[in-house]
Amino acid sequence: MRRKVKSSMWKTIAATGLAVSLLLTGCGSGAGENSTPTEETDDVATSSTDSATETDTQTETGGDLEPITFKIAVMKHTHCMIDDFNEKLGFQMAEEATGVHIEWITVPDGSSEKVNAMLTADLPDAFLGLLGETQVASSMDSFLDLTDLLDEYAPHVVADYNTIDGGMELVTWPDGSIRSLATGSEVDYSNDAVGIMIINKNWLDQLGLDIPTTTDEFYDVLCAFRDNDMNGDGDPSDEIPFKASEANWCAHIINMANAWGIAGYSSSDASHYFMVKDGKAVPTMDTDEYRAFLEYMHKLVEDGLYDVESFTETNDQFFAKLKSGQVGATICWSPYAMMSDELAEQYVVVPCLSAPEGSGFVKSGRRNDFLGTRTGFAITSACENPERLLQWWDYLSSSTQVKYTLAYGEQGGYWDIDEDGQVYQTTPDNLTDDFTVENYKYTYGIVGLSPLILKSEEIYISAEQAFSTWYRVGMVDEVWDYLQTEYPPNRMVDSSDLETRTFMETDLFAYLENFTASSIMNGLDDAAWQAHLDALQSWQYYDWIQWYQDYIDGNV
Amino acid sequence: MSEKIKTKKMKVSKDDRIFDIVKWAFLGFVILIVLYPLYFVVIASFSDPTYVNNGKVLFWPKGFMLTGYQRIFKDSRILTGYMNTLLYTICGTFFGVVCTMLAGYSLSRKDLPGKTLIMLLFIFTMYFQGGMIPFYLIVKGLNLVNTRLLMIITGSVSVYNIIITRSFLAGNISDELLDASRMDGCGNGRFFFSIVLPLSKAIVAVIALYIAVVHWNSYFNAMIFLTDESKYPLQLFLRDILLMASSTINATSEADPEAAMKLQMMGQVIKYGVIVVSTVPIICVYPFIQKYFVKGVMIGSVKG
Amino acid sequence: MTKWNKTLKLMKRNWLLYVFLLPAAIYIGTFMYAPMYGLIIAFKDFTASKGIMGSPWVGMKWFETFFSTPRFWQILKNTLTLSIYSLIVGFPLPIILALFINDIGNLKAKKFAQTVTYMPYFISTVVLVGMMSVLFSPRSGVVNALLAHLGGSGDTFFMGESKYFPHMYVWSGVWQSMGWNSIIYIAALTGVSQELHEAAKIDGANKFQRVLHVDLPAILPTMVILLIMNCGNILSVGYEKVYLLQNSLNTPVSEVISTYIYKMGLQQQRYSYSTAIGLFNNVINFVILVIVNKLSKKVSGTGLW
Repeated sequence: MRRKVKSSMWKTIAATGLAVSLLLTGCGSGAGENSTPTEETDDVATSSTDSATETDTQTETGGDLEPITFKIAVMKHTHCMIDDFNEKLGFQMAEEATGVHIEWITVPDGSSEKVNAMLTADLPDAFLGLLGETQVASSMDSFLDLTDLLDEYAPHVVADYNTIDGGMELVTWPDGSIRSLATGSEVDYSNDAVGIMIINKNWLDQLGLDIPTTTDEFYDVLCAFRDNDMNGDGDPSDEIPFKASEANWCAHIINMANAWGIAGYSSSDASHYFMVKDGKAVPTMDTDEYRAFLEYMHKLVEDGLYDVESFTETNDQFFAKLKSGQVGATICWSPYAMMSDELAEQYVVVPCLSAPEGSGFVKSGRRNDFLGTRTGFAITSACENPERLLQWWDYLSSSTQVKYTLAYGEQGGYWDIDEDGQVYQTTPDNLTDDFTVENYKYTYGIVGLSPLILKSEEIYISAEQAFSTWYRVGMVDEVWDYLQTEYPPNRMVDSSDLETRTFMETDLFAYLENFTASSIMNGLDDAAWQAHLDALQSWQYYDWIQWYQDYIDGNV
Repeated sequence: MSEKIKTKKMKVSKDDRIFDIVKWAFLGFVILIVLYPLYFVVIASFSDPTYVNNGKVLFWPKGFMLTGYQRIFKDSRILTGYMNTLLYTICGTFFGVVCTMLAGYSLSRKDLPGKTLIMLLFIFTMYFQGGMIPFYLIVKGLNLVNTRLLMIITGSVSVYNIIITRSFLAGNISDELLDASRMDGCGNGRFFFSIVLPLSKAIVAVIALYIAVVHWNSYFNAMIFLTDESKYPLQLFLRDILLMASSTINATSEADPEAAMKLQMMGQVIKYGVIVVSTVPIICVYPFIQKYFVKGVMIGSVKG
Repeated sequence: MTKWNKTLKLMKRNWLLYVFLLPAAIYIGTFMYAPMYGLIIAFKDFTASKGIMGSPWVGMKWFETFFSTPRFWQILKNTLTLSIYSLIVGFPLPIILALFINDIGNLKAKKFAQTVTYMPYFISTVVLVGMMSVLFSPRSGVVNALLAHLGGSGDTFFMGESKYFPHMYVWSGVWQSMGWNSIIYIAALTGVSQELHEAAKIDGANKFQRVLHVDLPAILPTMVILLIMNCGNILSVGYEKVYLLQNSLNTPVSEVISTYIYKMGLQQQRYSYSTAIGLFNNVINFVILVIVNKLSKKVSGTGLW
């Protein structure tokens, strides 16, 4: 049908070659062909109550298994090799079990503009893996409140959430509504400690040095790295004693402030700008410890121990430097993920590095960090039968097997379950260089977009199956004890409160990042430090901290 | 007397020589500066990215590998992308050139009442646009979402090109020529098609190039409006590849850093190859355009 | 009365020209003017669920917010620095290049020079910036190695020190688009009559004089038009390259209006705010365009309308 329309259109273009006719036929013949039952303009949004009553009657007359179709916009990962999500086993099972057919609208990773256009102008029935909390908060009415439907239509989801610390609170907005359900994994142990410092043990052994435990020892080690031809290539000057990288998500230099007792609850710089101590949000950027950290780093720069390109390089350059075996110490996720096995073997974790003037080593990160996406699956106001869609989602959440099938493809491929119910990783058969295990996971499954996988359902990773990930778990073990124990809560914030905070952040963060980087590069004197303390005031640093205090106190 | 002419001529040839020296020095410098990074892209596309990013690749490929190109050409989507881009570029350029030449010519005519107003209305849109959401609604209203037609039309007409065309034609088609042909009973239509167009090959070539390049490089509308991968243009696939190489890990994949890192590694291997693959065709277009830049094609007829 | 009659007569005689305008006019009407009402969200507090029309009015709130940000003047200054610098360097160089290329006698050499200088335009910004980071590296970059050979220090931190930022931005832009921008001039130079050159030669004009008095006047109208349009873009510094060249060391000089719009508005789904900043930007641009156009019409007789 559509093709026919188009070919006639082509003839028209060819015949006249004019825009007029082209546009006119464009409007005329196209009319109606794309119309869908859920057509909506941005101005008329069906209220949730209307559609609920309407669909109640439908369900009664139709029965549960009557086929029904929904349109869902879904994030398509770059590793995914197929176009049609209905080829994924998990969704096929769900369609069979619930009679719900999904028409997928795939959105490539990184096209937030498209999502925003759809939000205003072309609402699908639901979004899967595309929304952030800001998007939901700022257009709350676009999403149905599921509070009253969950108990009846999604009992498995409710049961799952009730096992988690925080329970339904996790997805509940300050006004008491539930606009979305979580996807992904509840926790991921390997992620708790974000960037971890590693050091080349071979180099230490050559010099007869131990793994440093204080910043002074670390300084001496770096000097030795600088002065000797550690990698034995005949050039004593090509070693990079220490580097971080602002281009890599978990390798920021601010992690080094851990030695002075300053730590963040995530990999972002911003999470280091305050700490929670005894229920109080405590500023860190105006402390003597932070100043000591900056001065120490400046000394490293001056003595040629720190690679200043860490501030400007691309992520590619960071990886290339690590791979080339020139780097003595760095902060990263795991050496095996970035370097050849022979090279990665040379590195060990620096578990603890404390500064004499600091309050003791604290590692950035968050214990049992909730890693799910709370706005992962959201049913919109365009959906006329949210009950059926919820039932479909509930089926996908109904058991560990179903969740894993949806996340990673069929049982016995990437995963399996032993008789105790423990999920463990296996290696799929048909892998090649062009179809890696990552391709497998994202092609047959949807990985992090599946309904919340609970801590009790966590997959067991063995060294044989995924050495790099397994090794990373061991790295986290070494620093786990130093992880912070107090963090701001994980709670939804409504849009006006969120706005108050984010409005301060763009300018404040730009200032702090620049201050940190330029102090490390150029040094700090008393005048500059005083100017910094004044600047903190004018960039609303303390208002920002107060916001977090209110948030911790539950007043936001 | 003859002596005087001779010295003058000698002076001229001496001045000319200085001019030539300056010219060749400038051009030589420019070409060198331009050529090296281009050469770098090519050798980098055959080299191990670790060497490239460590500054070890200077004059020839190091750690020679074809993995990048293999990856690119094994991807069946690339071929689809090429075909689509070709279709959008050719049709869009044709459509755009027609609109631009017609409008540009009309606006170049001094005897067109209201042309100032029309010009202002056109120029106004270069500065004030309604943004993506109303644009999306219009496209949706015309039922052009997820159509190839949309990919062809959008980006074809640009006020900038109309202005360039107008000023070019105003300078090159003289009023006398119009008057003369009007004497011969030649109407506006025939004058445009049989006199103006043949005299304006150079500007047609330039405008065609401008529009073609916009189409060749565009991905944004495709990203917003296309939902079938079978309709994706090349750049949308390539953008994926470049993005994964450059972007730091984003929120959606933070839960899976290993996968993200593998993507970044793969991206590194292919990104220079991607540049080569995606630009060679459009670069090859240029010599065909250059044909129309030959001097003096139109002069005789205009003056005559 | 007679003036009206004359106009009517002209309109009648040139009716076909209006038909010629139709395709472009329909395109512009449909895709430019029809969505233009979206600009009103600059005066509203837009949320997706309420839509453009349904969102509440907030008057000039967003403009006031923007003007009162402590970084307003810094951002404006950075934007102007980059765009004026770009204009001063980036405008004349393509003209010089075109004049020189036009003067090459050997057809093959001419085509070679044209094609080579035109190619960098197709390198995507992401790759360009990545390449700059590699080539200008103080540790291993070829540029620093070259400078060291020439007696320099060899460890200049081009990508990090903020004093180099405007130069890196502007000259990489010149590198990338000089050849591309010269195309229009090369095309315009095809209109120069050989006879004029011959005549000037007989008069004893040397090459430089001929270029100045024969070639340059031929491309003058194009130059003026492009200059006017460039001036009308004085506050528009493209966001992508600046954003990619930004790092924590250079933000005080590298934050420009477009990157600020991106960070403050688009990244955080604050459409009203970003539309308001964009509108402010373009109103200023448009006013400058009108002024420059008027000036140009007075001085050179050429203008956009």
